[in-house]
Amino acid sequence: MREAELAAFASEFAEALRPGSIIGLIGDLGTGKTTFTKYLAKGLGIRETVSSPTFTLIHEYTSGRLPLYHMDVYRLNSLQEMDELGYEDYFFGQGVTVIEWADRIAALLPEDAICIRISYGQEAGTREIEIL
Amino acid sequence: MNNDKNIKLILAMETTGRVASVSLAHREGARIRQKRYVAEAGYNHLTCLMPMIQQALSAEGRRPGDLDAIAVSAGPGSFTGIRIGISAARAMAQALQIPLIPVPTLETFVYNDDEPNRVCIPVFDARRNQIYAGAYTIVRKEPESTRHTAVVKTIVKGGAYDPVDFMGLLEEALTVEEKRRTRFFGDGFPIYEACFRKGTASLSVAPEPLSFQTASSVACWAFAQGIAVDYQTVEPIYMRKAEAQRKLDESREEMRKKAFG
Repeated sequence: MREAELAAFASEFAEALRPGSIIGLIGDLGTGKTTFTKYLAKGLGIRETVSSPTFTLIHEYTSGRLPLYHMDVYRLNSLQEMDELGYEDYFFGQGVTVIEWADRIAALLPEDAICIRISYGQEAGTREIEIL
Repeated sequence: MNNDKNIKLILAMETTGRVASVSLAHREGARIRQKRYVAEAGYNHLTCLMPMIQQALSAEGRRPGDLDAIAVSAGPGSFTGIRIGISAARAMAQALQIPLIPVPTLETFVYNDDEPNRVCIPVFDARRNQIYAGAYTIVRKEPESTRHTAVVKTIVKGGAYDPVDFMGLLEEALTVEEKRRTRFFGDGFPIYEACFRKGTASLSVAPEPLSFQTASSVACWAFAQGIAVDYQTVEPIYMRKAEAQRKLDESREEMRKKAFG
């Protein structure tokens, strides 16, 4: 799909989210995990600008229908560091948690987490999305 | 009392649960007089903690410099909450050059209950089908001792447990007589109520206002059982999940790695 389709998919997806929803994003560098999150945030009615949490680890947005906790776990070295981030307060809280590079913390994802794999499509500028 | 007799005025902080509270507590002989301030909203510790402390002090015309020590509920509980409490307490103790009294959160529940001789069983939801729990009772060695001078006896050590395993441990550890005076507390109880009821014939549950962590009990524990230490030595008590669960998590990770390719 092209970016416009990705945007439509993300906003439709956002409507189905509930407090405590967890979305794991899996995909190589540059496939659009943050871009997907931006559209998802828009779908939740979030007005703030969504930026990559690669260096800050977690961003919180509260201006939408539900709070959005946007995490990037690329830089974590162990699952224990997730504990230190207080991840359970996010996962089991009242908002929606999106985790980029979720495959790195797969063991901590609850059973009902939704994992989405984004990969490069055949054609330039397209992506494939797979819900795992 | 274990504690230094010169410690008469303490500020107690409780941020490990849903609702934060603070208490300014005075020791007057064998009695403790205190006033508690409770946050209006849940999980709002970062915003409300310092204003509540200010309110507690100014209501009695006190300044931070009047404090002899700070007592802090050190966990287990919400990771974020524990860190907020420990950080705030350590910072204040450092700035004021006063000691800290780290307080094990589960044990404070012996002071939630007014009725003497209870076996108090706090149960916190640790998620993923685990609980943080323990069982404690107050033991009066001398007849004249009050609950502020008596010793807390541990019946089941506080830790992260599978609820069924925990009931097994309780069953083994409690005497027949003790079983008649158990009382359950905490946010984990309603979630695993069926499991607890299966193991206990008659079971008492703390009424709502007594059921949760509170700074007044933190202050009571600190005066009666606490040891004042240098702030630098105070660490959070997270009580990470049991080793078995860790291993299970690891094996699940292996499986998922395979599944994800």
